[in-house]
Amino acid sequence: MSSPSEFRPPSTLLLREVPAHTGTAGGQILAPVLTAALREASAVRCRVYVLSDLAGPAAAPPLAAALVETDPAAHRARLRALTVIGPYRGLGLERRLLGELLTELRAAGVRQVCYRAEPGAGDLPALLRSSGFTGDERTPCQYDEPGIGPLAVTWLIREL
Amino acid sequence: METALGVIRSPAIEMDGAVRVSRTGVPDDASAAHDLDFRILGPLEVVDGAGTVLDLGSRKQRAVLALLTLSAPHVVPLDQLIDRLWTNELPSSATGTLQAYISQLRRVLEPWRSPRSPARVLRTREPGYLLDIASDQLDANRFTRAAEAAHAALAEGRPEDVDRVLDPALSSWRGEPLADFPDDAFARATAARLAEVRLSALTVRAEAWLAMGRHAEAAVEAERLLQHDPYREGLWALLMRALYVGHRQAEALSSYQRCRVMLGEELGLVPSPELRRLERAILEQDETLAGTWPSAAAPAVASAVRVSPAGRTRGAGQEEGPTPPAPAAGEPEPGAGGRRPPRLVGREPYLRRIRERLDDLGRGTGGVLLVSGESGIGKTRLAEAAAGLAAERGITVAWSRCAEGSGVPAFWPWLQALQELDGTGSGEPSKVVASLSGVDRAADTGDPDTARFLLYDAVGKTLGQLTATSPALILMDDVHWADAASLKLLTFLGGDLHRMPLLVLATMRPESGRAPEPLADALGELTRQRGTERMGVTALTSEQIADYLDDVDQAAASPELADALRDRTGGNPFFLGELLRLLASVHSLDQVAVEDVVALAVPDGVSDVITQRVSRLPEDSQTLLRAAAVIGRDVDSAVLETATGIGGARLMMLLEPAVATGLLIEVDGGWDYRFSHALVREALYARLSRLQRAQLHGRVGEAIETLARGDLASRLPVLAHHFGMAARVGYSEKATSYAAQAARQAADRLAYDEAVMFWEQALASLDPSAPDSASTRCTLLIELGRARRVTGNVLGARVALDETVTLAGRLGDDAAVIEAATVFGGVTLWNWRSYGVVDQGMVGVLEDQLARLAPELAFRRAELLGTLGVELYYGERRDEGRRHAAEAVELARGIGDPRLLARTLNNFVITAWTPEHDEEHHRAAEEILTLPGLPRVTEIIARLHRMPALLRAGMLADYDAELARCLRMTAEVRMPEIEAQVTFAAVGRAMLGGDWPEADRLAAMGTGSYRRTSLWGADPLKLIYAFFSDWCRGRQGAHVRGLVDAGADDSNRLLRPTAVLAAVEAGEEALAHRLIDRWGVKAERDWSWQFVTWQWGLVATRISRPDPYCLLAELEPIAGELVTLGTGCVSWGALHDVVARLKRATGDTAGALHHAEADRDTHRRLGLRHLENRGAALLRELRGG
Repeated sequence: MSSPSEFRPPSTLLLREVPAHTGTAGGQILAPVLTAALREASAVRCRVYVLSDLAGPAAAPPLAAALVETDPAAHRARLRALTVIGPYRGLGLERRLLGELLTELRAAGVRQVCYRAEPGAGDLPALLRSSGFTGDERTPCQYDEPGIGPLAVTWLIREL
Repeated sequence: METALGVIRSPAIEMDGAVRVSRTGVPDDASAAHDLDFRILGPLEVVDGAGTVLDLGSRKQRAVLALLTLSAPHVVPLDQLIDRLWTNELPSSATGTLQAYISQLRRVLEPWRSPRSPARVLRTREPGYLLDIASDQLDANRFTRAAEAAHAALAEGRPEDVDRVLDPALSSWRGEPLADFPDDAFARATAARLAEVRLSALTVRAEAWLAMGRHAEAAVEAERLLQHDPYREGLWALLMRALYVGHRQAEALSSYQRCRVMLGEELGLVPSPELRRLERAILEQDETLAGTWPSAAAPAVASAVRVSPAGRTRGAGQEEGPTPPAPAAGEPEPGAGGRRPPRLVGREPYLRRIRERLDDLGRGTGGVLLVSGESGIGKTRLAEAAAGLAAERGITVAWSRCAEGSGVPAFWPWLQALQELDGTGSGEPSKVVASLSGVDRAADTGDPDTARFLLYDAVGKTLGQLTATSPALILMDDVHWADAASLKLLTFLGGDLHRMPLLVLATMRPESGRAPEPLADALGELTRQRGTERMGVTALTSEQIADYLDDVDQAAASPELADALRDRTGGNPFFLGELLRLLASVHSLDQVAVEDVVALAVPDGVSDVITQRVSRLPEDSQTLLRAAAVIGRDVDSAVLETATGIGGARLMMLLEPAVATGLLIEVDGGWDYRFSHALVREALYARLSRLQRAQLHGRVGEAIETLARGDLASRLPVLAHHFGMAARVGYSEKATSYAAQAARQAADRLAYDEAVMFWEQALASLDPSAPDSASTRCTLLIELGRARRVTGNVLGARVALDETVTLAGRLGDDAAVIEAATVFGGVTLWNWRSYGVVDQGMVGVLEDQLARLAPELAFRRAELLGTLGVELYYGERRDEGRRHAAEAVELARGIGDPRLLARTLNNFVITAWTPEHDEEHHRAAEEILTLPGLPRVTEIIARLHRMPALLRAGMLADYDAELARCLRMTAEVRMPEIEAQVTFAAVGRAMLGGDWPEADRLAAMGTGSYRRTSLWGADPLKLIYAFFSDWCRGRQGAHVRGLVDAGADDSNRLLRPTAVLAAVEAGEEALAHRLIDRWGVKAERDWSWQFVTWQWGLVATRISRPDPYCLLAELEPIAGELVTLGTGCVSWGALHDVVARLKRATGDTAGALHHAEADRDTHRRLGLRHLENRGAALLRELRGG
């Protein structure tokens, strides 16, 4: 058994788009978010991307997945979720998936990607900020009530 | 109809460059590409043929396009794009981003292009990208040209033309060039230059106005321009002249003063001498002022006609970085940036020899040229150079490549070459192609060897036809990976090529100790053929590396740098090229110094360099390359897409950087890829773990299966290969099944070695835990045994079949036992056992099966009896064995099947090969020859069995005729087993004739062939020959140790008498006695009896052991026979000699004299002078004594 520090992600990972429904392997990882997204937006505008191991068994679940919703012209996209499954967290796969995802969206003609950072959104906002996403100035950032600041919703945006 | 025709025809007629419309009404790709207009005179804009301004996307994406536009139509290296636009990002992620932009831009620029057809506008060309557009498609170029034309018109005294020339250009000026990139250095430099061109054009226009008398307008224009650019003295001069000619002298002079004051106050300068002269001329009212003022003519238009990229000063054509020696994909396309093919450095001696061979070819003499060298040494580049030289001489060139692994059909390189040579694809050649590819199954001659000969012969004839009118060069790349069938065909044809205008240049890696047998065989045979020559390509020296550096770079390379590079790369050109590319992606190549090379974190091999280059690509691109490496050197896009589950467009996007950096090559005329060098693929593949490889092979196999759908037949080898590699990760069943199908197919195509390989693969892929794996294993083993038997690998066949018998016995599967056991009873020259061995286990199996066999199964019974007969040959039940074989023959006669009869007769021939049954043995062999439809091998074997009797009887003319016939037929069947025995027969004949050089040569050849079979005997026979070839020449006393040591082994007991004789001849009589004490003096009554008894006779004449009287009794009755071993591998004079000596030893001088005379006379009659002399010498000795 190799120690965790020696554990590295396989060299045969590939980003793929899979159908956006909860029945797919990628859909399962994203299940609650995907269900919510499908309630709000049409399925044709939801895209699920997975990072899976080409050299893994065909039936193995992907290592990571992301959900993106686009506007009708597909010029703007909203990143709704980006998740890496347990054993593979902390290996840089979040960043890898984000990088490949942005490349893919850019190639598809998307100009702007945004993310709605809600309180308790975990590490993703920090990753996004370090990847060139910036807070939207339109977001009100002054609150009278002390203690409400941390509960505020922020939109993170990146032009591609 | 007419209308319809008219509609279709009209676009074709309009060849004037206007809108060309395809039949579907959508502009076709080519015209759409030509209709694009690129505009930089203002913000960057691209307008399509319909006048629509295209949406070019985000700022970065537009910047990429702007950079490419400025360099068009030259390549902008990928590293340079990243340098300019992404200074702070990791190369791998920046490359990914760039790639996304490129593919998005392609979609914008060529919306009609299907994602799978090659891009025509924004192309990938190593080492980067280029915009393949005509000069006129860029507004800046049109503008500059118009400015030049206007300047020329003015200079030629046609001022009236200037407005007409300039107006459209000036109206295309939409503002500051590339105004949307205010902070980018590359844009600023270009903008400044274009602004200069525009100012100069406006000045020319004003000059023209002045020349046409429109001085007021000229003056206003000059004033206007001066507002933007007050320091232009040319404009001041124009203003002064315009005012003067308009009779406004005072204003003209005050303008001069304005200029003088401004220059003085703001810059501390005085006006130029020219301006001062103009002032004086105005003061003096010089008449020439009315015309064109010579020195005040418009400033020259900026000299750069084409806008070229800012930044580095090197021209676009030189910005491509090093041109490495890796093979380029085809010809550079026009507009692709004028890539200069790299000169071949340090290869002149090889090229000279190739030129000579090509000139010979022109005179009708072809051959085989083997170019060998380690990977990356530049073999393929040499082959490409040869192709170029051949084309110059009007020689037809055909390429064919061998692929690694077993994933291609048999004869693959030949199929490619034939198809390329046969441009018409009709007639004979295509028939041959069909039979090679198995489309047209080889005519069922019932005899695989004949069929193979006919096929090879047909290929030879076809090549003869194809080269009858013009000589041809076949370039066969990487023959170390060729299939055995192709190699056999090459050796078959090789012998005749010196009489044909066909040269085969084959490249190969040097054979290592573990070179596959078919390759070693083919090379061995080829090198013996006339017209074959080998060239070993060696590493580059430091001097050659310095030459190479001079070639790719203007800066002279220092000897130290060349030495450092030589140390790093071992002078391997591919390694060198890759290393330079890696260095160039970090430094500008002309700045690479010794320290950079030394400090480079490259440990050793070229594979590390490639790995580093790959690591600079986006990670998904890396993944895709790894999957591609599993597919092979040639990468089918459809397979890669299906295996990885991504779409074609994304696939191309991800692979683009690999193409741009030269790791992959786009295959011409399609969307497939090819690794630029085998080493690239190997480096990627080697870095995958075993598990990763297995899984990926499985996916690739499934992808091929899915894509092949109806037509699996042509994909069987490749399916067997991939599933075979994935057998341990759940694909065992498919692996076994496809390998078995591929094996049958290979055998159908007469590629027997491939068949063996596939059967072995099928067995290796079998999952031992599968439910009926044991019975499947039996079936596969029987097939493997048969296939091995056909290729002459008797021992291998034995191993497989023994295992079957055991396994099937355990399973209680009698049918399988019988099938396996009787494979051995097939037609053979020798008993398949080692000398003197009887396998009692097999005897038991055969007897058991015979006992239980249903009486009506006569055919099976005959097979079993014949097999049992042969099995009993070396034991005490030899006679019983012979009777079994005789019974088998009778059963076969009853059944009336000639094949069964041939087989059982052959069994009988072997069982009856004893001194007592010589007559029956001979007759049975003769009977085989009378049977109809005899396979060639069976015929040769029967003839070989008949020949020893001819030799013993001294019927040398008949013997020679038979031998010649066998040699001829053997060339056709090319089975090592047969080759070895026929060659040995020729060895014995050469000995008998005293032709020692020929005997030695043949013996070496025969031993070589023999070693390729796994039959018993190669080593003992070699020892026996070595001893007698000296002994017969009067060189006694050698080889004692070797023979004594070998004889200690029971399986070598055949050579014990020879060892004793050697000891006696060496004067070591004590040793001879000890050996006899240890080994005894028995002469088995088998095929070796005469030869063994002769040797004991010789021994007895010297040390009186074995008993000379007993030996006389054995030998005297056959004293007239010539001595020979087996089918003739050692043959010598008449037995009279030994009998005479025994007589002398036993005191019978008269008898001795009689036999010595007979000995001399026999040999005199046969024309064997040296043996006649031997007899005469013995006679003298006897008389003298």
